Amino acid sequence: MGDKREGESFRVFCYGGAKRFEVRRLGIRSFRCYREGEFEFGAGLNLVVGRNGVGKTSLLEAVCMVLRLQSPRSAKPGPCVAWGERNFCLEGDFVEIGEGGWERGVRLAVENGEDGRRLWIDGDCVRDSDRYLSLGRVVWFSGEDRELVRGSGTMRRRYLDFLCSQLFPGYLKVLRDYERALRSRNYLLRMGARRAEVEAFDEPLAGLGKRLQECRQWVMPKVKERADEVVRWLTDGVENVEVNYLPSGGSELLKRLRENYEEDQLLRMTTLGPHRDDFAVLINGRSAGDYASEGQQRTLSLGLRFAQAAILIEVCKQSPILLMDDVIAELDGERTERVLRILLEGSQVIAATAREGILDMAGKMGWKVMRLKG
Amino acid sequence: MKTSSPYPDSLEILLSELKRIPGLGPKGASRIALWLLSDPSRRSIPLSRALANAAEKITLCLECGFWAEATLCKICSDSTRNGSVLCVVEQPMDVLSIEKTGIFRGLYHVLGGRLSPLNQVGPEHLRISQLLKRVEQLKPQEVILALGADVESLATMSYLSSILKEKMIKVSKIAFGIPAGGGIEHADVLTLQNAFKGRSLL
Ligand SMILES: [Zn+2]
Repeated sequence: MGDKREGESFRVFCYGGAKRFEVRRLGIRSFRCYREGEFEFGAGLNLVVGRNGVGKTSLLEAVCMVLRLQSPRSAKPGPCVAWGERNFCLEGDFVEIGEGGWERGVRLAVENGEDGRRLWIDGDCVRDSDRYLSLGRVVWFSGEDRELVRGSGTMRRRYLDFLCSQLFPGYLKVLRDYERALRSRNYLLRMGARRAEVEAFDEPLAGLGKRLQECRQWVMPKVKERADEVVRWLTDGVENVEVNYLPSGGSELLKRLRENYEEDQLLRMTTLGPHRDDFAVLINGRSAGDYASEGQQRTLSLGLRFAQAAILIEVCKQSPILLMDDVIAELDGERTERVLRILLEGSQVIAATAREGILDMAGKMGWKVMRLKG
Repeated sequence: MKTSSPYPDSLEILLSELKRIPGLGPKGASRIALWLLSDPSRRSIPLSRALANAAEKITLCLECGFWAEATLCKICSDSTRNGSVLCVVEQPMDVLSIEKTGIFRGLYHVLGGRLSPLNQVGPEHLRISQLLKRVEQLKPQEVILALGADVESLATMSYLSSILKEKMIKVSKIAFGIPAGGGIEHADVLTLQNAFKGRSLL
């Protein structure tokens, strides 16, 4: 490429003291299209190749599920259970690698479905998920990530929640409680309940909502800084990104809920609160959803995803596993090299694609290639 | 095809009744049945009498909603209790937890649950109108809300405090060192004592 930044030691991830975290083996039972499966992964880049519908995304999803107990594709465990089965079961062997090269292995297992959820750490059944969830982290890249920039706020809230739930222990519980308070309040509004009954849920809603918004408020400036860094690197300094948090209801959520009651009653739903939060993505000062080209939007979404990884490394002192579904082979030529440079910085990558064209390069670069057949 | 049980019919009936007890599985039910029946005169007969007797006599106290044998429970009929402080709880079990701490000498009011729109429980399903009536009669100096710490309990607390404050009643809630989401039946004596001492005005 021969540009002036070539050879510069730009690094997206500051590993200073951070541990690497990798999956070595994954056992799958009754999960999505898998009856029974056993997979082994290499330390650096892993490429999963196969035609569409063969189970590539489900394999990535299984890695995400066994570590985070949630799927980036569906909120409930039900759809993950293979057809005709009651529960799915996943078991992964992971390893944490410290700076001096020491390794510590941990085996995580989860069973979930109609009979409820059960968790194991190194063979011991654990009741509380907090310790389980503190062990490993992931970033999910998807071929549909452009929606982060041009789609609805739902995508961006999911982005924030997925990040915050990995940064703050307990975030997920607060989020579930908030959602329960919200469903209760909305139900009462729909049924035309008396004002006092509806407003009984204002305090729980505002209290839980404030805790969610404080977490999001804390993380947004970091997203902004890191996404901008990555996008500048990917575009050779041509583009710059701004990301601005837009909390719904502001700092006085309780007061605003009370003031907004008439409107909520009219619309029969709660119109303020973290469930309406969003963040604006600007490119060179203009709304990226409206003005950016398709290529720019893809670059921005990569910036947002790599920002997640960089923040997890910085805060948790541990590298996340990067799960990339239909992302690597789909890059255009110019960005491929720079994206790969980021990927080579040390995180384990599991990338899935249906495009065989990338196999040549994968071979040359010594990636571990896994072919999936139906 | 149905396989017939080797047990006599009367034992089968006993086992199926025992299995309906929350937390008791088939094995536990069999163990208890064996224990009861191995010495009937000292075990199963006194127990069956006690059960029938309790089922016949136990009702809810007309005043506070706690278990009672007469129209009033033991606490409401105790003249040494301080009628100027009222403690509101969700379940009769909560009265027992607080009594164990010995820190509270006032009267109770049992709601019989908490507001839960998603389970179709509204104010009319709880003993809230009775609470308001009692408050008018007793004119307590303080009403202490000792409810749980999850979403529905918090909403119930918010609801009660706003309607009680309308009546110019001083309302406080116990301080929770109890993990959010837990009810007070999970709290130990010391935690509950501190929760009462550190209660805050609403
Ligand atoms: Zn009573």
